[in-house]
Amino acid sequence: MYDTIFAEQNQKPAVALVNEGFVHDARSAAAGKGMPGARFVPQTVPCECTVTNKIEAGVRAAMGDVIAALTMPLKPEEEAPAPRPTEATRGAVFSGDLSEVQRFFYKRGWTDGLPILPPTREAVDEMLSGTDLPPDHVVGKMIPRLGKATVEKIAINAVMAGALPTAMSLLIAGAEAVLDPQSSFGIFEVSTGSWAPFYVINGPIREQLRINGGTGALSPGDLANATIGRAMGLMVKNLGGARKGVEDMGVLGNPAKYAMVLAENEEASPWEPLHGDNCVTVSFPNSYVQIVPRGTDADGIVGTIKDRLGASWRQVTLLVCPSHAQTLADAGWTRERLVEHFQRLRPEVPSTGVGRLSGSESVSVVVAGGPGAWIGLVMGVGRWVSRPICLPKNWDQLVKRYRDHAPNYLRY
Amino acid sequence: MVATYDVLSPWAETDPMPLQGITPRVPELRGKRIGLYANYKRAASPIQDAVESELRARYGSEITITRFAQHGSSDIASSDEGPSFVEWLNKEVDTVIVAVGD
Repeated sequence: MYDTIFAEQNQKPAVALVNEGFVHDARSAAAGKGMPGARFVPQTVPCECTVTNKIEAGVRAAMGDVIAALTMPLKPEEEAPAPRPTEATRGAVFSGDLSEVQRFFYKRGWTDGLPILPPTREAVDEMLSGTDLPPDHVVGKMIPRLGKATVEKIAINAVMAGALPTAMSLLIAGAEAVLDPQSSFGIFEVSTGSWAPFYVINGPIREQLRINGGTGALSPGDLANATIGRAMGLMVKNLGGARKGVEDMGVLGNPAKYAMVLAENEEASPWEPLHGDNCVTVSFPNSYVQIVPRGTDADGIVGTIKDRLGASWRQVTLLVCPSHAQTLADAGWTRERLVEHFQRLRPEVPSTGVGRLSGSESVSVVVAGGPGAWIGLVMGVGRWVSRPICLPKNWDQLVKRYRDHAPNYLRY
Repeated sequence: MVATYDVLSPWAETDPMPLQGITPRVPELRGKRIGLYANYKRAASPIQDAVESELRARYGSEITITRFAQHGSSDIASSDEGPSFVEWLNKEVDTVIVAVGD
């Protein structure tokens, strides 16, 4: 709808043909751009259809409405739209017991479907102790609503997710990374491709927050990994306003939208880390596959990755377990050589679609995981965007305060 | 006694968006220049092929049809193609049909 609105803003009456499943999306996009009356016609041509007779049939069925949309005089509300009431965003918006809070937040569409921790004033203030930035500092405006990602709103969503205050500086850096235009977040977040943000963390903060980069790094069970990813997801939903089926049109969805966070396993890596200091790197893959190499020698590892990448990939983060990384390093492979090797194998980027979002760099290598032989291929399109994590002055005290917040497994 | 929680909203504020009405319509298509715009999605241009065919079947040579296909993959207003799109609108088009392929 944005292109339709742009035409209208250039004084050309316009109408958009949209698939009937995108009606809510079209209406939301038009309202979001301040032109709620922008006309569109639902049609039945399937998304990205390549079947000529279906395209012709769908267009034929819609043509009467298209012509009407171009010629019928304007209604008063199309000529002069009235403002709509807006949601209250400041102060306490609800009071209730835990169950009532859950129902209220869920029905508002403010959760990811899981229970949340109530963001009371006290809880949010505690979360804000994790940053020196003032609560009203605006990190950026998040697409599609252009909602202001203030430090306080980040803290509220972080509380809901169950994050600790020590995560605040990382979450702020994560928001900055996502909001960087290079990330193409604005396209990925609403795309039918269900691209999900994937965060890789480097630096001493990994150990201080206990962000897992070893065994089961991408599995549930680590508070830091789970809540950091979850908080970012809630921020995208509640600050950006991307609602499933309205703005977020992911066809199948992606479980990684709950959380996909890991620390690089720097200590077990034979190479220099992806980044030398506290840093968060985001990309937007939509598939993750794990493979076992046909041989655990360097040729077996490299060859298996090459075969699995196949002929139609655009961007890959290779998650190399420590033992394979050591094998590769012993055989003379550096991280840079691996990147160059696989980058040379990347097929030509197509001239249409999200493939155009890919940059010249298409391969990243991250050492992660525990003992074992599995390799992870995290595949998408687009670029990696990194941001340094700026710690508050009271960092050491903060880390000490929450240090013991770690599992102590029952021994049996 | 059951605990009660006074909770804050996670929903972000936005700056007020100035509202705009849409442009007055053309009274009819006969005699007009109809711009067919296709975004980058692969179904968009084939949709416009079908639109063109339908328009010709209805209006024959009484209309002028002109095409613009986006090559980038973002909002055309903020892309490098924005100026050429505007130029096309200003010089070649009375009214626009937009196909987005989705």
